Amino acid sequence: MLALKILLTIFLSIFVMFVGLLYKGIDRKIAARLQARFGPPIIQPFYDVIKLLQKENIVPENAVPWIFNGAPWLALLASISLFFYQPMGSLPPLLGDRGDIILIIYIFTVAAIAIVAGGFASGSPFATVGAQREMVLLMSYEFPLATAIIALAWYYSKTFPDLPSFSLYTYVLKPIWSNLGVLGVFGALLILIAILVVTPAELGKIPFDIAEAETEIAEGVMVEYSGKNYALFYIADGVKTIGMTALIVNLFFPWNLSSILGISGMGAYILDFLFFWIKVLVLLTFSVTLVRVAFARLKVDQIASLYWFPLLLTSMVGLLLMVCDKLV
Amino acid sequence: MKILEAKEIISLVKERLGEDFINGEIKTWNAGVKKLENKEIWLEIKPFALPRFVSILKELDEYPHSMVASAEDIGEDIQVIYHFAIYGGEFSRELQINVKVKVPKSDPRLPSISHLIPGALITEQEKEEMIGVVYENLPERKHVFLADDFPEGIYPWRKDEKGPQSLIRKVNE
Amino acid sequence: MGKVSYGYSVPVGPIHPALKEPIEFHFEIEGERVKDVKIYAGHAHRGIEWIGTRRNPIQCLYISERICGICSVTHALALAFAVEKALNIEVPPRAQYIRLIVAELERIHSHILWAGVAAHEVGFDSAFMLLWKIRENVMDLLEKITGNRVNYAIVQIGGVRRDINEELRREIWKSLDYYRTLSERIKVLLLEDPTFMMRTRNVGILSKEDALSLCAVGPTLRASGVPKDIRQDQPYIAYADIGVKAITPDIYTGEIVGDVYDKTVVRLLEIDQSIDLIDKALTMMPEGDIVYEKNLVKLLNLIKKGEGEGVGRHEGPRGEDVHYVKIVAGSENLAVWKIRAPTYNNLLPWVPMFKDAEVADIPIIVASTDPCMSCLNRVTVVYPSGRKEILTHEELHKMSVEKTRRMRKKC
Repeated sequence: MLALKILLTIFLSIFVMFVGLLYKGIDRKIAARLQARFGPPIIQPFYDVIKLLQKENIVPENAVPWIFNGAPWLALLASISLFFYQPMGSLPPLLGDRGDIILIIYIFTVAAIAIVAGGFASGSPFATVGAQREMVLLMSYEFPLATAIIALAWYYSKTFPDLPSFSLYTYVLKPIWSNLGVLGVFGALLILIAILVVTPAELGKIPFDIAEAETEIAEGVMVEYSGKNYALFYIADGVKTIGMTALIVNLFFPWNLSSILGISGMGAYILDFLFFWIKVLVLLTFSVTLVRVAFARLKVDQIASLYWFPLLLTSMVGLLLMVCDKLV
Repeated sequence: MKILEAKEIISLVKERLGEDFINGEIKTWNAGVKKLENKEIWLEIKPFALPRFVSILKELDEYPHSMVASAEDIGEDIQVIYHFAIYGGEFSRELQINVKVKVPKSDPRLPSISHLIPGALITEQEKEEMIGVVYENLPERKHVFLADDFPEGIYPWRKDEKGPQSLIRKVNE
Repeated sequence: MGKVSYGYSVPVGPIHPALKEPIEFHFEIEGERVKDVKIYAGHAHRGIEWIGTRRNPIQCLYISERICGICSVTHALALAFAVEKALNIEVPPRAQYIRLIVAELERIHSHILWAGVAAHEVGFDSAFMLLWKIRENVMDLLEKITGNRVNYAIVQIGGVRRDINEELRREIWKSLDYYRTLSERIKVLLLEDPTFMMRTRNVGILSKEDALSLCAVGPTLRASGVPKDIRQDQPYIAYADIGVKAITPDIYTGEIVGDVYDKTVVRLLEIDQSIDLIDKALTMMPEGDIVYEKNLVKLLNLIKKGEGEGVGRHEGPRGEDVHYVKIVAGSENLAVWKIRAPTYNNLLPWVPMFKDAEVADIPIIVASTDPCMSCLNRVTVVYPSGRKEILTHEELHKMSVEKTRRMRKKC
């Protein structure tokens, strides 16, 4: 059994890297069409990675080598391990007994910290500014995100006392929308909005790409990275993107086709698995790609004030409404 | 703001500067099918009357517009021409005033006017680098327009031994 | 107690993604705020003024077009005015109208290009792509009229080199209609976009007093609420017949702030103004010659005999462009050629604009004056320091061959 788990883990790692790069390509293509361009071929990210892996890996003179080289690995491994604790379709999570939603939030933070460490270790002023901005961003969005997660978990703990309320598989088994009252629906919607606004910041995309602002600080934290290290960050970015959207899919859109169509057995697993990835792609398009082409980059103080006041308020009100829904 | 005619301005400058006024003339040119007439004033004054002249301009128009100063190496002297414009903001009202001053190469000192018109600082800086005029009380700054490794004592616009001849390479042989 | 500074210095340039051309800034920064800025220009020297004193005015026209790729007709026009004033050459009326049309078309393309760059600087890439797509139409039109997309080579001393016939007039009108339909949408795209507004409102404010005393020019000055425009103040070519009103941002917004947003407003409104000017010029265009003297040999003889000095001014897309030319008898070449491009005067206004800005605002403030470093730097060829002798071409060739051999041995 253990050997099978290890095999599955390895397979899953390779699979999510592949899907991450593929979805990155689709994202780029859709963005290009929206900007009246032709855009690259869909498999362009694969070309990019192959080319980067052949390139020389340059470590700057005033860098701290072990951190500088270690940060990309940390980022990639953290991003991949997101998927060990997430159910996909009707498949239970691979390591579901060892981690839950709290761990996932931590892993996101680890991936961000890896980028910060890499930036500070590069020893370039641009990277330093970028790393500082990444820290500010991290401090800004963690609070609304944590509030939103707590609200959901509290609701589940009150509704299904016998199920583990922090386990993602619970959310898949009992879709959230089917158990809410009127107030609760509004609360859940507010929380969904909060999490959707956190998504681009979590992934460092426009309008929250301040850590890598190309025109301001010359790709910021990534400025000194090249070759293999940059390729690792590149893959990590793709995996992190689908990891975040998969989390939202599991929390808010956990329905599966098999129960509707009445299929069971192996076919149901495969069908639900495919349907899950389609859902991830659609959500990715709406929450990352469309936002990315529709906005300009915000400034650090604007982002901090946006997350600390309006968005925190949104998730707090969501929490309140859900509490009222339960207690009234 | 009282708008003076070009002739009145010349007589005013002549009266104020007295000894330091050398000569002044008006040039006109036409534009368009309707032959709309535009005037330009060309003056020549002594170099150290410059700040006084600019003060007169500031009386006429609160913010005279300093376009640029062009400089030329004319044998023994360096001739610097300041191009000003006043009365802008209305149709065909602006007057262009060009003031020539000559300084000898042996003592190329000119008074700075950047305390009267801050915008003239950049062009004074350029004159120092390009032709070797020395401005008094200008903030010390090296090489705004030239590369940092440009050799000392060579001025690109000079036509004498201080000119850039030694730096020129024929790249197309 | 000495002053304690917790800041650090961030160099921006000479090569930086935010800068389309080389210039160097040194920012003293505390946290995310700019405390002080030093500007170093001079990374794109080509020695154009010096070259010009070894060429005759007709050759200089083509060099002047290559000072800058975007405002190419601007420099050529200013130089032509200067030479015409120096030699008292009368330009035929039809040529004046054609000059106006080309200059205004260039203004349209330059302002759209700027709007795209500004959108890119604040990370609004979609607007950047769409605006540059829109700009292609006017580039194609300029190619139809002059034969080139940039460096049009249409200005000649005493006139223009190509006429605008009936077919081209129809093409121009078609293009004007295209831009009329789009101009409202461009305004909505940029001026009503909430994030663009957040990034540009109250950023890089240049007060009216600073703008006037530091002699800013062009849209940078007009955005601060000063209605100065050479096309209006000292009308030249056909502007004297048509009449231009300087554009200030309060026409659109009702107030004057002098920030980057206002500069955007001014430029976008100037696109509409240019469309109207071209329309009027096309309807009012008289018949007649398009050049004072067709035969170049005769023209050169005239220049050789003539003597005089003149100042040519033209309101380019970035502001006032001044050329001073002196011609002495007995020589074809220009005795003095002084170019003052708009960016030259817009350097100093940067300093108050950067005061207390954030690091994130640096790119958009730099871009807001629409700088053109190539216009700014026009000096002399120098050799690298630290070498006593100057390497000749043969020596360089020899070194290159030796290096090739060394590398072969390694393989």
